Amino acid sequence: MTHLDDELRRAFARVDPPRGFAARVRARVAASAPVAPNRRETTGAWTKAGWAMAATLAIAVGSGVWFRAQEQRRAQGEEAKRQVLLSLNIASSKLRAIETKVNHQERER
Amino acid sequence: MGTALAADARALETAAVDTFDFDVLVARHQSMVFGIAYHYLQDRPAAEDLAQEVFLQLHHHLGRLESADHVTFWLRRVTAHRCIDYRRQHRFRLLSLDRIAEPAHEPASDDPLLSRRLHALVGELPPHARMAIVLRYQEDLTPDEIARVLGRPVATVKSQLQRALKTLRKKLRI
Repeated sequence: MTHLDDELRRAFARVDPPRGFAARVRARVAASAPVAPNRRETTGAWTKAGWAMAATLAIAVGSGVWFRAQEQRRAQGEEAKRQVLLSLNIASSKLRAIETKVNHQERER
Repeated sequence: MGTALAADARALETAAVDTFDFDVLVARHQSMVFGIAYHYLQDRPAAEDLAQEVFLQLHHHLGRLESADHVTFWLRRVTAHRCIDYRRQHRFRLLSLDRIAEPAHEPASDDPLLSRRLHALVGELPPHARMAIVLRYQEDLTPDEIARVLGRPVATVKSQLQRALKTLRKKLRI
């Protein structure tokens, strides 16, 4: 045992904490008592899983709505195209009928 | 007489663990936990805060601790690791003037400033070496026991202690 060992033992003896330490520890324990650590971890894990599920659901619903809107717009475009073609066909057949009538009258003259 | 007192103390210790008497455990171990934190951090408010957190953690772990010795080992281990982590996170702290070591040589014999000087010099050691010194001289642990508390090889702890003591002797010139 050296002199330095003795001095270190004296310098590094145990130290009593400030007065009221135990009461403050009790207060902290009481404040943390309603939520046990495992329960808190579990709750946190469930909250994260809940948020992830909600985000996935929101993305799925959003994608569905967007896809449906695109489909509706495409169907409306197809219908408009069909109507334009029908109108052109009608106009074309009427023109042909008029042309035939005019030719016939000219031949009679 | 002494034997009877020791038996009473042991019975009290065992009863504290058996019945999860948290208050008895705090009363019994507070000077050990606070002492380790205070000698390592050299900051009273930080040491008290850390010691409170250690006991809070103990409260959550009471059901998993099997004996009085297990409680003591667990408290030393948790306190030591929390101290080392705390110092890593607060590496660049401001030092008050009375914490800064005085450069002048101080004689080793019955010098009232020697304890303060020793604390300042130990405070300059690397984290694990500093904790090894605190556990060696506050708790009177052997290098094997320190190695188990810190979770490091015994040879490393022995060499850290030797190097730390050599540094202290050199700086104190004793």
